[in-house]
Amino acid sequence: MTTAPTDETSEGKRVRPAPFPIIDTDVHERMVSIEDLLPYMKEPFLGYMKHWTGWGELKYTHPIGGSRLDSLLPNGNVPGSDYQVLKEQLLDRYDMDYAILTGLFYPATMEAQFELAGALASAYNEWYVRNWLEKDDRFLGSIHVAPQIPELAVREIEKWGDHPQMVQVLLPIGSVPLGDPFYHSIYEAAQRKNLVVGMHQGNSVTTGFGQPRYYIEWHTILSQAFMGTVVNLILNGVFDKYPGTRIAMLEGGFTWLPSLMWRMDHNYKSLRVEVPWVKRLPSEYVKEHFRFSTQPIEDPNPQFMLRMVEMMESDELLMFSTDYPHWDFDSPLRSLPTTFSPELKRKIFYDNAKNFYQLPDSPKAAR
Amino acid sequence: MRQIVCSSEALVPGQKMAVQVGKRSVVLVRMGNGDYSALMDTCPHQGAKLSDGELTGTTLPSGVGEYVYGKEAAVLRCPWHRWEFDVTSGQALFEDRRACVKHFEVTIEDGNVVIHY
Ligand code: FES
Repeated sequence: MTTAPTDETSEGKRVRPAPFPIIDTDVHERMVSIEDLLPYMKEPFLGYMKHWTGWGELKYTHPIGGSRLDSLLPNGNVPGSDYQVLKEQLLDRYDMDYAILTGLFYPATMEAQFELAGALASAYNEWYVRNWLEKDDRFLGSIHVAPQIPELAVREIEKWGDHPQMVQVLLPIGSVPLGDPFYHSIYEAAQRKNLVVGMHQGNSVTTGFGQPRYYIEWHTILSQAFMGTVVNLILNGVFDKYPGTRIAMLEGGFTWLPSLMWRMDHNYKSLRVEVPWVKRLPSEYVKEHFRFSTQPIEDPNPQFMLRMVEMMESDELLMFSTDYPHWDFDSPLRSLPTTFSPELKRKIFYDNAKNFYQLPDSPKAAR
Repeated sequence: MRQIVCSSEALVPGQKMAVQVGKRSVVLVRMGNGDYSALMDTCPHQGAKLSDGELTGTTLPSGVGEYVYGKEAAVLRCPWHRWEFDVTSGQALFEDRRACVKHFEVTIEDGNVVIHY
């Protein structure tokens, strides 16, 4: 390394030679792609790289891949992005009556640039109405909004609220308390348009102590955010202000619900003074205003699961979901516990969602 | 009962394929060491086709914070929830005796792969 500083630029123009040697202490070289690193990696992390998702909002790359391996597309596009494949693997394979689309693009959890979040949500709605909802009348839709600026969210709800296939507003659970009065205009708009508000975890969900070290920890305890949101919505008076509000909790689990209801009621008896707008026992709000999707359903002793439903004191709170095309997909044929009666299964597979989303009966439903 | 399913060169180590043996759907795998093995092609969990999964190695039980990789091409990982099965026994790698896939004996005879069922 003896090259002297040159006085020619790459274009050959003459510039004054530097009068001294130079050390630049910050220059950014880049890889063409993450694959450049593969020759230098070994298992088990080489296996992770097959499914590399980067460090986007989700702080983990998936150790085993985020999708069903049989949903991967030959052209390398993202699983779930091909209507024909989705139709075959899900709608037709299981003879589904309706499927509520919830996407996986959530500007709602952006933690900065909120106007951009609004523009992205709005563009997404336009795109997916054309490219998904209009392709199949079994699809029902979720209006994507950016709650960071509630007025923008309300505008989006007003724009799409009367679309015949739109059944809910999607508010992903991130790191903010969605029951806070700051967001109340969104519930008012959803009530006015008679839409459910669907809550699915956003990738930025963290736990009681922030970001745990491993994906398996995060995936196990992200229910905390759902539990917190149930409590937060009730005690911040969303249902007292907007009694028509219906909340669908999606992919957050449900086996924690009995203990949460007990604990909330227990505290309410002593601490009601702090939230006098809450007029009834909190568990009553849960039963009236919330429904919970089943996937990913745990599989303990099937008797325990039946008792879990008994402890909820309602067989109307659960709605079936698959989470297609994700790795933890629940099969309609095999995932509900064997102890559930045909009547209970019918409610979970169909009636509960039909009633909650106020859907017209599908032609097949008379079966 | 026995059935010839393919030539012994049909798969290279690390490959797998779905085969029909009598009325049964079976997944034939060729392990990293060159041996063949065969399992029923249905996951005992929720019924996915194991032949859509990955024939892989995996992390072996180890000390905290340590990764020891082994069982190269001797583990079949389900395409759905990624339960892992030892292809030599059909047993899941976690402790649950119910999580077991039926395993078939495989022999090589006159250059052919034979599955006994
Ligand atoms: S269906 Fe195979 S692991 Fe669930």
